Amino acid sequence: MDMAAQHPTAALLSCEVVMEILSWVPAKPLTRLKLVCKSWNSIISHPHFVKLHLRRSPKNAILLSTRTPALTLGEEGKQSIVLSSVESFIQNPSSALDAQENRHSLHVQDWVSGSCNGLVCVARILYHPDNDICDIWFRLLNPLTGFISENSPCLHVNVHNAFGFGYDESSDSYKVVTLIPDSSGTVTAQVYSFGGSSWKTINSFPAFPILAEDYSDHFIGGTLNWLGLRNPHGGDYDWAAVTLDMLMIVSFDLKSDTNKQILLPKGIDEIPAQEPILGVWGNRLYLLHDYKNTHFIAWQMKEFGDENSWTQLLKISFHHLGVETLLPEFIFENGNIFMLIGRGSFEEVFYDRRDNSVKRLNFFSNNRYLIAFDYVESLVLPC
Amino acid sequence: MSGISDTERMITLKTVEGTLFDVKSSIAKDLKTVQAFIDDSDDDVTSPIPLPNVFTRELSRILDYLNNHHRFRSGIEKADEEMARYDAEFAKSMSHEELKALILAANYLNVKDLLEFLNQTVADVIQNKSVEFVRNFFGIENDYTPEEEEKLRNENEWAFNGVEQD
Repeated sequence: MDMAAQHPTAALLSCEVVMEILSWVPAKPLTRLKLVCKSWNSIISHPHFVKLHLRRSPKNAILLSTRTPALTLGEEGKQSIVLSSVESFIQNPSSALDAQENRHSLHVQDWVSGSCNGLVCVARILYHPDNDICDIWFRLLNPLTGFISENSPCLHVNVHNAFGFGYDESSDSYKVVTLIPDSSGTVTAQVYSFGGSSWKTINSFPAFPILAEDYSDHFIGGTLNWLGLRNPHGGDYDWAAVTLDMLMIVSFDLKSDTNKQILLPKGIDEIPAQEPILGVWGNRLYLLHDYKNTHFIAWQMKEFGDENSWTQLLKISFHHLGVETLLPEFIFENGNIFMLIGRGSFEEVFYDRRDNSVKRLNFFSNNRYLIAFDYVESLVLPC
Repeated sequence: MSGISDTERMITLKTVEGTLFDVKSSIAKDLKTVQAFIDDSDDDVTSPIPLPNVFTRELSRILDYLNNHHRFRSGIEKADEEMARYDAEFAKSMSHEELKALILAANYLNVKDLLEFLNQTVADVIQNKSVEFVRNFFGIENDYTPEEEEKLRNENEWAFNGVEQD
């Protein structure tokens, strides 16, 4: 008996199966498939599907880079976002950064403040040097689709501030938080939820944020995290006068707009000589600091939220690394590869913990730092 | 039967064509639809379980996949490499029609890991193909007018940059 004729070769795969298959297709070819038929267009555009697709999108595989922007107009002016695979960046950072594809222009006074779910949060900062005030407004963009959101309302604030960008799953909203200290050392947090019409003020943020070289990502586990000082005795603290008990990590929950403290690693027993750095790389929280200004120490919080999971990943001399200051630019491969600024800020250093190897490269000629974030491709369209 | 442990018990499955397959109960656990049937039955299932939507060719492939994966997982080192090689061969050995038929069967039998692997395989196949190819593959009619298609293409121009028109 010829069973072949009864085989479901012409059977249509169900909508559910089609969705599952499409969720594995990368964003660009996936968008082309909207042309297959109208129902596929609906599936691919549906927010529920976009979230499923985002979950499947490879993580920690793409680096979004930009440079610290020009401080005043008239300074050498081009700025852009470059997307490159982590693999190709580590192999050859220069050529990855010079690539002409996957490049998106920014205004010279734009700062990338973070990236989340395929969206990039960009701050436009207009600085008024005569009174140390600046105007800041934020927008979201999806570099893949070209989507650009409306601008947030403008913030008119003192230039010494910190900001962070993240996603609140409970309300499906993207938020930016700005920490604004005043001259007496009191800090206010301002929260803006994209799609909304105003900034929400949260008074008495418990710590004065450490502002030095704040170029890293702060977002992890639905919270934004900053290193700060309690009771800094006024707005202009002197690091030399800071004691260890003043140092604290504040974790701001984007769902409830409340904050709590995260304890520092127990192994830190003296105040570092330089200002430490707290950042999120590869969806892990790191605390980086020096020891007696001679060694670089890196802590990773293996389980975010569990203070007992702080693990010292390395302690290595500045001399061995060929660096003078504590300026990490990125941490790759779950804490195995560290990218730092070397001597004279013209040199980049890659340190691989697994084989204790140090690679030194020169690819910036004008004293501007690399600012980089983890990036994931998505078709997310907020609000 | 009281001395026989669970992992040695055999389950018999019957395909559309009437072919019987004896399957270890540890493997049958991965066929979630079958396992649910067994769990729902009050007594021990002794007669063959009929699978009215599954053909011999597909069940044979599914069991082959599961048997091999169980073997790889049972603790030898370097199993990851061997498993990847097996998976690649497995995917390559099927025509597109056979791939679709297998997805239907794996979906019906609810074989999670295999289904995920097959979905990714199809995703790999279609991502670099033309829209017309994908329509043929899935047996879908184009329901856009030429104007609608042009409009959609323009709205999503970024996705077509550097890609030749069908």
